[in-house]
Amino acid sequence: MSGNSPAGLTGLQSRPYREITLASVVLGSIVGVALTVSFTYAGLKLGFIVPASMVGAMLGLGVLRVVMKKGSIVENNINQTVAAAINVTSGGIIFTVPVLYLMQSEAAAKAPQIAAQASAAGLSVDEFLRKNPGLVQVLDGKMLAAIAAAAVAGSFLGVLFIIPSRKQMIEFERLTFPSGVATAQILKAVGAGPTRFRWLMTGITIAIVFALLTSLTTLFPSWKAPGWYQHHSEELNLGKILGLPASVAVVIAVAGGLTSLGGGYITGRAGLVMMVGAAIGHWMVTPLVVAKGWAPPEILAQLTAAASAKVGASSGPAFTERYETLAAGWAFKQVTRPLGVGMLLGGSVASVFLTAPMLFSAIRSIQKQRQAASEMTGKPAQAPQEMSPSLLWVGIAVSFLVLVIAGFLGGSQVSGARILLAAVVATVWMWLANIIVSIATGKTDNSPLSGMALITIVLIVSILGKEGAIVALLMAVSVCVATSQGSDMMQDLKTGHLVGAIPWRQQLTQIAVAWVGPLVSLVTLVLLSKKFLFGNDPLTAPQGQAIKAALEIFVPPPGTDPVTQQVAEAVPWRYLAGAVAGLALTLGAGGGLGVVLGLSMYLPMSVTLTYCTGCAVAWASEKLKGPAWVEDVGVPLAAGFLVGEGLAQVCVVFFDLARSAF
Amino acid sequence: MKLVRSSSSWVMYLGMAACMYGGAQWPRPSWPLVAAGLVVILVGIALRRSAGAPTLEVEQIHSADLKRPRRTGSLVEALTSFCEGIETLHNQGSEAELAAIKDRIEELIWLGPERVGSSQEAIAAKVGFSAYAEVMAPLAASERWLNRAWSAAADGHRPECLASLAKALVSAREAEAMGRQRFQGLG
Repeated sequence: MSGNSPAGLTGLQSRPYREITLASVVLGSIVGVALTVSFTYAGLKLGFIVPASMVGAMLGLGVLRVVMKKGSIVENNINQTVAAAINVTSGGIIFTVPVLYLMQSEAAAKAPQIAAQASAAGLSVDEFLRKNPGLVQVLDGKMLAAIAAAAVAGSFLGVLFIIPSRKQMIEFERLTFPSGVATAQILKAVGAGPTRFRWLMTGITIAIVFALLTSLTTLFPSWKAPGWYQHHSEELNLGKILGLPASVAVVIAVAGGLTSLGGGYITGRAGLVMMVGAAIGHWMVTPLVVAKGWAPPEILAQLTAAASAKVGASSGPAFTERYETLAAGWAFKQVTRPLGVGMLLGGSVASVFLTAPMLFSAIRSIQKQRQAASEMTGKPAQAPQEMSPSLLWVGIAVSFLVLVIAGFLGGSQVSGARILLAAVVATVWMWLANIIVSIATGKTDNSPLSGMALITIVLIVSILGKEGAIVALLMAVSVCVATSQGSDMMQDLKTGHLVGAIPWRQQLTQIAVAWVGPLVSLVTLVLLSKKFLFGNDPLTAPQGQAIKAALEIFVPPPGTDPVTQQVAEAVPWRYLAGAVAGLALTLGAGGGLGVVLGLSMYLPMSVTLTYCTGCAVAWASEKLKGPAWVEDVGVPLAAGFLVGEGLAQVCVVFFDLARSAF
Repeated sequence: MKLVRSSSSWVMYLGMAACMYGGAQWPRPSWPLVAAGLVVILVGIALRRSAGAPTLEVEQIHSADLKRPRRTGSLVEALTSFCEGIETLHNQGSEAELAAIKDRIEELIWLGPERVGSSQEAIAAKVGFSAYAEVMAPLAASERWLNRAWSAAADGHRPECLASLAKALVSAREAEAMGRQRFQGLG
């Protein structure tokens, strides 16, 4: 792997060092588009996507390096940047756009002519619509154009907003970005020496086998899985084994667990602080709400009735366990999570305030470097490394105009001035949300994407009122796409830093393909809507359902009961209480403490506990074996876990897609 | 002081727990409880401030780390030896084994940028974020050029490796000069 003649490369020395090449952009685009189509389908079915960086890097290693025999490490970095830039936006689309379909299919189910047709066909309305999904026509040309414009504008804004933070987050604060580190491990595998290469491959192999074993029911739906498999293939409930109340979540993730474990290991000891927020949220707040009955009496009665119906009794251990499980679910959604979102918000505002000197230093440093470049033309050491700030401003202005146009196309019931105001608010919020998500992924590898979409809806509906629900949804599409694109840009720039890429080349590549992903994902979604009725098996659109439920809290459909209204009105106050704590903690202790603690209250316990286990293992291995062992063995193995689970998920999705198609 | 500092964190977490307890009440948060939690957080912050700035990282020796160079001397001395290391590597670059260049680059990054980066909180507490950033900007640029030299060496592209080492040296010298101004008196 090392020496003067690296295996597999021919004639590299005699040519300029390869970075942006046609091969890297074409390969990245093919991989990105293929994964976008697959994960638009998978996201509608399962509710998640896998970022393409690591998969793209692996394929790049095979195609550019092994087959074409000329791919350099930084060239493969461009390939993975392109693939991820295209694929990552599908998350923003599938979380938000299906909401329009779900709303429309509900309206269609209530339409008299549909009821008449269903009756004539001898079917129930739901069954009739499932068989004729084309009757739910939500995306006429104008609305399709509005969504596409909002998504594309968000995609560009996401990249443009985050570029000035590269120096601050990656070079000054040195945030970890575990997925970025894992991708760099793959890119550098060819020259990293036999020990690191062996451990990386070991991690990948273990993770692929493990992920396939936990996906057997997806791979073989007709297989009758034994009870222990059904109970434990998603997560391991340690609390139940220890005999703890069902409202106290002590859960380890099994499906996707190695990704969390590996992410925690790469972050190291610093990530352990997440356990504090998780303990306060999941071991104090949620059980307290359940035990004290801090909920409307009508909700408690509903939960009691549901538990009783499930176990066939209204007392006894089985009833208590079921009731506590249901009540804990309600408390997590309506109390713990909003408090966590509030802490995220407060912590982020404080972080922006505290790190402003670093951001200004970063911008000054970029300006100084560009000035030096213009004064010393021809000296290669002084060539500009960052994109021109004026180019960024132009891009932001044009993207903002596109977002305004999207608002006008979708918001026929709202005045022009209010649409303009909504676009300004959404754009400012998008910048802050980008910072929040980038800090969260930089510190923990987890991102509160759906929380950001929800806050967008709250913000815009509070400005435009109920008639602005569609505009709010369009802005949420834009914010969701922007934050996924922005955090991906930072992950890729971290990878770029570790392999020595030139930042402006990576940034320019990401901008050049930023429009592709949203359009591919949207077209795929429209095509799928012709065959499937979203919200029903197999495309249940879980994230879309969650956002629709949230939207209905703030924009209640006619006939909504007063209890739901009461629950909705309490949520912004939880945001405020959380924000106060997040602001104070971050201002007092720095380091984005409020953001990390808020995120750990927002995430399910299974993710945080598994992640923190990884952090603890990293800490212990550093103490026992030393930092060199961690770098040579631990980090490559952990990176392998991230890569392997990503690869296995892609295989599972392709398999499922092929089965559906044939 | 270390004990006061770690206790202050737990006081802040206690305050957060109180805020969350107040915030979770139905139908509205109990604002007196949230305010009480806020006061506890402020007490934690005051304790933290009274403990003074965190100390600069003290290196721990591990048996498995004998192959790694030790981080010795002050930060300014570390920056100077970082520059010297790159210069030596660049001068020997046209003849040295590419594998040896990669190993030395990893050592230099461990001794320079990673050492300063891992002490960021302590440095910022003593000389301010801006001063830290002024040194870190060229130092991180140098680190990135070193990473590029590593990649080029792994790809067998010696010309790019040497060119990147030269650029790393320019940035490292800038960082050293800035460090002499901003990091005086730091450990």
